[in-house]
Amino acid sequence: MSIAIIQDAIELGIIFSIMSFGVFLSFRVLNIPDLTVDGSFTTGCAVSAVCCMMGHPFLGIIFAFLAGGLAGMVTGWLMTKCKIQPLLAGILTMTALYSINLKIMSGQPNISIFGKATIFTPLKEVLPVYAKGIVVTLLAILLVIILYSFLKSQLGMSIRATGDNEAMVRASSINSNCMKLIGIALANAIVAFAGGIFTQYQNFADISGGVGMMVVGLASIIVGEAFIRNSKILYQLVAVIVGAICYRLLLTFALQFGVKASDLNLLSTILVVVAISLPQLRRKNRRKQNA
Amino acid sequence: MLDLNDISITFYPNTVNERMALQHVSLHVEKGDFITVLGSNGAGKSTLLNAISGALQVDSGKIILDGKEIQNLPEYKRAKEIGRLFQDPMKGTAPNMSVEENLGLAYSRGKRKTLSRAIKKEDKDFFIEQLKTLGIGLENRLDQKVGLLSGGQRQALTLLMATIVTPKLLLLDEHTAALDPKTEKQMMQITKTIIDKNNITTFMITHNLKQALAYGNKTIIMQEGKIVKILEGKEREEMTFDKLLSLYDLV
Repeated sequence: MSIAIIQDAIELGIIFSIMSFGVFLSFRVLNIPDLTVDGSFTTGCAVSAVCCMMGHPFLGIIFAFLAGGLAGMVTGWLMTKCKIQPLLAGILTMTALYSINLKIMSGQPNISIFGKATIFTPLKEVLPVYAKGIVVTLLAILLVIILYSFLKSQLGMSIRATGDNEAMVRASSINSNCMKLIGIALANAIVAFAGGIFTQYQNFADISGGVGMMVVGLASIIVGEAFIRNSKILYQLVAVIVGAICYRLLLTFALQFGVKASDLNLLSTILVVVAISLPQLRRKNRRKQNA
Repeated sequence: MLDLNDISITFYPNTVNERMALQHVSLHVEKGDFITVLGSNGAGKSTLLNAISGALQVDSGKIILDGKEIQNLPEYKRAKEIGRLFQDPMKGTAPNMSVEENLGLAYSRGKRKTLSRAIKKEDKDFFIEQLKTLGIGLENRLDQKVGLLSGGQRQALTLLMATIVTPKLLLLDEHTAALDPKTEKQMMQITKTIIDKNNITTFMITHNLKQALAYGNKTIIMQEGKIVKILEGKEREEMTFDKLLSLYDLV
């Protein structure tokens, strides 16, 4: 295995860590399993690719962020105003997004942006090998700082409390529905933002690019928590990055050992299932031994 | 200060399970009243408090707080002026957040949630000072997760959170029932101190008849969704545990 492959894996890991921040926000902070992610990631890819075709890579990732936020707002609205179960609300939006994403991509299932300017282009002229790595790392660090201060702000704290104890939040005169809406919108905005970066990174957008993203995000969070067991927010955010990179490396190793790329989603799922159920099984085992 | 005008709530209307949880309840409450609420299970005590707080919407009637009709406001809007405690100590706090974060959230009650830092240095000093008044050592545990505190500590914290911005109305729904006798006594002491200091109008549901007479200035007894007896003034002063018990049976 060459250095280049490992470098690719780390860079991809960092991009997916940005995506995982979104999943972290919905799944861990708000305690809502939000499946919109699978659709909004593709939305980010699509918007970013279309903007790149028009020669606006930076606008591309900004619009990707906004488009993802809009998708999240739809899910939030379905959840809070239409009283649809969170899981179903996410699935509905995700399904609708498939059509919308195709519309954004003018009906083509994939767009290639080879040769077009990307957010990496300016730095690439100076540092051809490390440009991508530097840009994604800077973006990830920036996002950690922003997310950290956000979650420590009055608004962020209200969103965290909504995921922790909704009844208490309402009793503190906070509109918990509004908090859910903002949280889910921001989560999907971040996911789509990552999608936008991902597309420019690999010069390619695919209509099925977002399939399994929710699970990838979960896997990153869980792997990260295995390494860093600290419930302070800053540590949790750093854990997501560590987790996403480790997870990517893990997949890369698997690919090197002859696992087919098409089997990766199956592997990811098994990893998440094992990681979630292991502590429970272990506890059960211990009880049996004690009995 | 608070007027309940002919409020009614029916659960499962037009079904075999139909139950009139509140039937044409009217009550006038003066500022500073501390009302204890008695009644057997299912008498409508909690429903009454839920109706006032907005956790349940009334089917008919008006709730007027300080001259403003509030019966159509959602719970979170009423919560600006109404503090609330439940029997379950787990209900009133966010377990995965720290003591100071919980207090910070309560302290910003009714204010717009902005992107500015949630807990500033001066807030922290204020929280420490407030926690000291509880006298249970929480002032040294600001950074700890609330989930690590005992039920009594959590309930005391919830009380402080409910009153840190002085509410117009405080609703206590058997808030000491899940605590051990010693902690319960301590909790009632803290409750009384806070209510007296800020002259907060209070409702307290209790199953403890002694407690119902020992605290507050009025006692209402509920049955089948109605207020069947209001004890106040001389009648209440002369009321004994035994007399109350017989009254309880009669009504």
